Amino acid sequence: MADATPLSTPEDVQNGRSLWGSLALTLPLFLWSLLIFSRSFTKGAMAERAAVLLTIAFLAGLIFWMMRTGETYAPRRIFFVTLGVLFPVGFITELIAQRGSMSIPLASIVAGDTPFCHLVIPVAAIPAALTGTVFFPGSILPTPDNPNSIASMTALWLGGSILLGRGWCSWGCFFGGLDEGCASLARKPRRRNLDRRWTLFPWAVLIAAVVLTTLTFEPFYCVWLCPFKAVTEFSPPDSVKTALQFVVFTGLFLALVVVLPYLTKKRTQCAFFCPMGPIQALSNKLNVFEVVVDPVACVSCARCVRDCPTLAIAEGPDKRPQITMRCSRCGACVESCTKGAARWHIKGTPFSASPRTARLLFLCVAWIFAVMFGGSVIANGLSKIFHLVV
Amino acid sequence: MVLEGFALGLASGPACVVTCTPVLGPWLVAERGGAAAPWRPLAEFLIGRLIAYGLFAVAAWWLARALSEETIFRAWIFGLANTALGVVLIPYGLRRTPDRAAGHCGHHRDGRLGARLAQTIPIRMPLLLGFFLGLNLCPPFLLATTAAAQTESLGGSLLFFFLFFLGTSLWLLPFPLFGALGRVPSLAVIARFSAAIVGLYYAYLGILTLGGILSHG
Repeated sequence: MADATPLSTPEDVQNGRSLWGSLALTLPLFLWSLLIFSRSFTKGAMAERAAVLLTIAFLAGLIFWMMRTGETYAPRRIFFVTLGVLFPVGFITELIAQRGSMSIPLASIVAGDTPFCHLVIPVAAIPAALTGTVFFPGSILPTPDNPNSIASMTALWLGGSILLGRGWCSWGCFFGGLDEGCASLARKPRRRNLDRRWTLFPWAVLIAAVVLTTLTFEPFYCVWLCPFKAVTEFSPPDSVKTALQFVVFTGLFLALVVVLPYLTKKRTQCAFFCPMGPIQALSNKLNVFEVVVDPVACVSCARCVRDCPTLAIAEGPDKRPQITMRCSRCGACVESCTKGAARWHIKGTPFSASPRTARLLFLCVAWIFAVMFGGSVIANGLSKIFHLVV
Repeated sequence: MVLEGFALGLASGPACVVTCTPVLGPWLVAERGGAAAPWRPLAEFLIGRLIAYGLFAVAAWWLARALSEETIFRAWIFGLANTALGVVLIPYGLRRTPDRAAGHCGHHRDGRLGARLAQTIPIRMPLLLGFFLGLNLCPPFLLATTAAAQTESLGGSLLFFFLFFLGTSLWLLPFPLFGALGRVPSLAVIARFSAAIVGLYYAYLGILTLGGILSHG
């Protein structure tokens, strides 16, 4: 950098590959998805098989798109929004089939059959470490009635976090796709100049939820604040308390997942509220992949600051962008930078190392996880739709 | 009797720490714990608690039976104290953090109604927090109230509550250390937001209790 020559050009960062090169890079991930889905294909009924085939084709198509064009953000967004939409489709259909409604009967809560989701992990883990008790009405190990146990979900999340850091929030979280989808609906943001102070609010939600969980002996975030109860399950609103909870989580869902993303074109639930975000941001410190800005190539146009969907890029005192630890590896900044200054990088390698190689390695890891976890969710949602239609 | 009050306070200390941390902790971080005199906010908080305890000591002596057996009376105090705590904490938590680096020194007056309301409140914030939290009827406190009600004189009741207060306060002595965290500006913002969320929770508890009393006559 001593001679002030940019380390990479836009072509280095964003250019795609030849047709055969792209096919060759898609093949291993395609074979991986065949391996993952082989069991459900051989044992499933017609609708499951059709859903699996469609999922494999869909994922292979997106991977090929990424390899061929060099784009990351657009194909990832299609995958992520599909995941976000099909998760509740599959989950709610199962609930309706089993219970006849989205509400959790008291008997299921008492029996510890409440499915555990990753958003509860930090909120439950810290009180559990302090008190030795998990304040959640679920089971530690999977049971026939509740495969989404505390241990299995925690192990899955831990693996995803080690592999992807906060990339989990853009490649694995089946809730994040919903607010990204709503953010994508608007052509232009109607509200700009958001108060960045609110990006610290998830920490407050995390701290308050941990303290109040310990104080009240119930999963406070789950019971009171989680907006995604609106698209999963909830206690029936048959008392003042549960009716109030219904109003709170429905209001939060509409505001944070639907209205604000549409108005701002930002993932407002992820950026301003989710208590998982701070923990994922910390996991970025352990993860080897990162997005960096080449200070020589950067012309301080602030395009990346404007386009980051989670407000993870701040403008430094010298007007240069600073990628914070909240980066969720979505690739939006890399694609919006016309100078090729924002680039993928692997920690511990020279700053001048090839950004294409770093991106390729990240994509391999991200897709291995996304196919395994998100692919199953997509296939499940599709098979439920096929069952309903056929 | 004297030892009993102190011992009960010492034994109840962890419960007090759990109750006070969500309210006092964020405030101390947000305000840097009174950077110049770190013990002052804790002292004010404890005075607030002591005033609340003193009121209870008098009430326990005057209204011994009513206080220990009349649920509605307890519910009124609980509902009002929690609502007041929420009303104090929510505007405080949502108010913009004073930009010390820019030299505003926290005296810049925001014209919005919410901000104006918030700026009138925190003059003796720890005192208010201590007072309203002191009125919270946690199980050890109810036990202390019942024990104090059995004393024969007002002086005995006051002494019992004072020693109960001393016993519990020992557990709160490390709290000024929270203030050091507030030197990181983003932690101060997070602490304010946390205070607002905790305030919402207390307001909900209070309103639910008061609503229950009014709806059941």
